[in-house]
Amino acid sequence: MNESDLIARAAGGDTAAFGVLVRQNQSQLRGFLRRLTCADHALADDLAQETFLEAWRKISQYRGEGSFAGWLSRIAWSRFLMEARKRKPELMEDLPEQSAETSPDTKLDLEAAMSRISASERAALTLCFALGHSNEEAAAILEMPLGTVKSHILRGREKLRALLEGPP
Amino acid sequence: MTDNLDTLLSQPLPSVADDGFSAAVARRALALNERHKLLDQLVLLAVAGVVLAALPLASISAAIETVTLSLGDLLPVAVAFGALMLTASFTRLVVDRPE
Repeated sequence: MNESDLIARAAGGDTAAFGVLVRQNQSQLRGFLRRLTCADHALADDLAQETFLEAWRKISQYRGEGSFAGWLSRIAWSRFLMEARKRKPELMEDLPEQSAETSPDTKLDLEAAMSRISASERAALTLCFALGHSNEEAAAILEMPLGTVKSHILRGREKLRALLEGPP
Repeated sequence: MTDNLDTLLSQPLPSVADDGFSAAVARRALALNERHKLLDQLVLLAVAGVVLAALPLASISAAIETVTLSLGDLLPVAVAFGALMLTASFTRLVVDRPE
């Protein structure tokens, strides 16, 4: 059974079909949320569960515009924003140049460097590079103008490059 | 470094083992469904209760009784009912007759 059949059956109340959709998409969605939450696995999994349950409630509203995975990412991003604004605002912003954990002359790996840029930059870079979405798709998922997504990508890459290269 | 960075960024996200995650979500989705169904039934019952309470049941049953009795007193209705009973009995007799 292909994805659109599964979506149609899930929209008709078939929980088994929805279960298959969850199995097919959980790894990517949880990976995306782990990146957004700076590897807070418990929070990422809570958000992933809430995302899938919201998708279950709203699945009849999915019109097939864009991929199903993209639609899930959009719900996940809005859940993440709500949670971060409410409980973890530090996830939204860049970390200061020097934090307690790392000295300025430390060379970071990608995940550590990712956790030091803003959430919007992390999301835009992850969607467009690791998850292979186009800039337009990322703009739709993040509900941002295309220009904003492009500048998040540009700025995020510059910051990452600096963090990964370490001090000259 | 730019090429290097793009290569790093383009690496797929690490795969996350399911470890019962999908089953837990499916269970919660099912529970959500059951809760919605229960809620719908409760709303339906409440509406039915309100409608029944608002209906003039005594007047309706009195009207039904009057109509039924007056129908019974009418000759054409009695003849039609008799014909119906006879037809049904005859049909039964034909159907039940041994081969």
